[in-house]
Amino acid sequence: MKQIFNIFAFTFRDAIRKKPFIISTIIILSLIFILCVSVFIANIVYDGNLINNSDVGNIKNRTCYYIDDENLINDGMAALESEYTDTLFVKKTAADIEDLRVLVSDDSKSTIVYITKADENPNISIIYKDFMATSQTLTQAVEILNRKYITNVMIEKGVDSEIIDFSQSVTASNVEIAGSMDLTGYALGLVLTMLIFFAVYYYGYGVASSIANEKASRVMETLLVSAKPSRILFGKCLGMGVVGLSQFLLILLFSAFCYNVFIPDNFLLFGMPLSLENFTFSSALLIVLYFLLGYALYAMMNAVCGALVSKIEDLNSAMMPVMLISMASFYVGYFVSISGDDGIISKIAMYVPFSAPFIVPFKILNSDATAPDVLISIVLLLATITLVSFVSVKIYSASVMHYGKRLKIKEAYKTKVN
Amino acid sequence: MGLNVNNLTKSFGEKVAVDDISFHIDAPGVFGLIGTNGAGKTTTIRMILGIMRPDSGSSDWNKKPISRETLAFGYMPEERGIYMKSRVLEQLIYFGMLRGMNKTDANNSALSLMGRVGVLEYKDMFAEKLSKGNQQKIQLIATLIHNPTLLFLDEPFSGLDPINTETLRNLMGELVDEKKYIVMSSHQMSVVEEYCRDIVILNRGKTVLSGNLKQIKAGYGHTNLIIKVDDNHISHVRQLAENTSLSLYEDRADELEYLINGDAVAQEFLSTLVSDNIFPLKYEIKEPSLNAIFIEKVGGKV
Repeated sequence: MKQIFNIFAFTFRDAIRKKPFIISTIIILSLIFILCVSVFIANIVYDGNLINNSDVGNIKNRTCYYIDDENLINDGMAALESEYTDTLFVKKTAADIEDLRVLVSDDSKSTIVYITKADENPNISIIYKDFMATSQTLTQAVEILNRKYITNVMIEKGVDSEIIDFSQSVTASNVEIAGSMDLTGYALGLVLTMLIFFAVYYYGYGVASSIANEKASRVMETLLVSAKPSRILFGKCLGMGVVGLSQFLLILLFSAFCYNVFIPDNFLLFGMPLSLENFTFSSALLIVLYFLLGYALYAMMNAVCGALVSKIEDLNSAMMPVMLISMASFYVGYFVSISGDDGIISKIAMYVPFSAPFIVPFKILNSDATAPDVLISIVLLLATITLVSFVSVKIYSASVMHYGKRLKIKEAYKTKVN
Repeated sequence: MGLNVNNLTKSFGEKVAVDDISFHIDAPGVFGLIGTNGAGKTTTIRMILGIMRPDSGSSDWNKKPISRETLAFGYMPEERGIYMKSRVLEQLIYFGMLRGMNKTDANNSALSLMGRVGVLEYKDMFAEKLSKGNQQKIQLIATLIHNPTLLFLDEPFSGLDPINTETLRNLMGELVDEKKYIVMSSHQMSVVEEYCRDIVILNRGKTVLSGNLKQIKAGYGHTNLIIKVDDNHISHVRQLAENTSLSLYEDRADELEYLINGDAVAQEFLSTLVSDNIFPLKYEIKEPSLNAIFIEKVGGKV
């Protein structure tokens, strides 16, 4: 145990002082900082309009060319003006339409509202630059004009003003998400899934690379006379794992700090408020546990890859099978997560130990993972890690002392070592 | 007290790497384990150290099995087995702690050994910044840090310049004085001849020669004659040797070495030289060198 601790301590100390760790940590923390500060600055610049803004549908600083030569919708432009206060409305005629088309085709802030007669009724055409224009706003504009037209017709027909007012009234409505599947859990789940994959991949590669380097440089020979291969393997995996966990926790803590300092209360993300109600202490612990289990599973397999090669340049080809498994597992987890699927594929992905670390954290954050699901998944992961570790230690022990032609896994497994 | 190696055998697939090797070391000193690349030296050492399990045979130290846990042995691999991107003292302490030392003892031992071999000034440097010779010294310190009784040194003099060779030679002498048991593997036969009392020559996993080096050489008798004369007489000596049917073994910069078949041939040649008024600066009748014996045993001829 003391030897494992010594190897762990040396590996940890060595890795956190290496440039890749320092640089990657600085880059990730800087990105988080920049993102949060950008939101903070944007909030100041827009004078708080980013938060709790109920006028999301408004067109800002735009120009609208209004054409209704036959006055088919009386006071239509006034109706639009009262709704879109930041938009400049300019009355034009049908003769200008071609020139206006050219103008609008180059200006995403300009729109043409062109009203013509079709079957004795007004036909409203909205002309704008490209599909990036807010379709919601355009639909709303058509609706305003439509309501205005109906009001005009009803006045002409002598309908009672109370009835007219009633017909124009809008039923109060609101949309409520009954479950806790909100945008925050979704976004955070995806970010964490990617972060876990990045850490599992990066630090798993670190284990393989470190072992391959020790073998190629013959440090392994010095280590082997002092410690059993299994102790070297566990000490090394533990060391790199704690380095990864430290970076992971540092990122989470720094993100939490930036969130508290820079992100305003009631901040809206794509029109929805941020909510971290599912990011509880127990869910955080479970996510860290999945990070560790995922790392342990892949690190053990990567360690074997590192031990199998004699030259560092052969490492990538030796790691290919593990890389394919991890990539496939990540994409399965990722797509199941974003699809919101709760069916059999989702269950399988949660239970399969290779993909579980890339989907269960997302499910936990979105309240889609039941306690039995999580329990089964953890038990299966632990069982697989035990099995993989047992096989890995055997192959690793034989491989680290073998140089020259790459040892076949079957031969390595059968080789007797102490 | 001593090391016993009994009938060690090890195969990798179809290939027999070590085939029934036995030897014994029953007194402190340096033992030579000699062989070409792939002869089975490293596999033999690994089996002795208990790192690798033999297919058959055994080895023991004072009648007890050797393992990492039971014996303080030291092993210096042929290639530099140190962390190039780590600081020298830091990694030496690490290696010491892996051998069961506490941090303070490992630190003190490392500093003391660094002082002995003259690398103390590099203690805070990264190993990659050191010369090949100094890296070799650091490797040796990593082997000696826990004061082992039994040492395995694989090519300890490889890559050293004359000054570092002298430093290491002195350290080897001190280790022998400290009653260490040293198994040395080397391709440099002059080094083996200088230090080793007993040797084993391996070829393709088999023992081709073993025993006391002096006795082995004595068994060959006097087979070589070395003559050194001044430059004016060198061509004359060559001519005379040709006339006497002496076969030239080695033509060195300042001396000639001939193969002889007994002392009488050498003495007769000396008489010939003197009668021609050639008085050698050096005249030496000797046994074959270990190098010659090695070449003979592993595929060449003396």
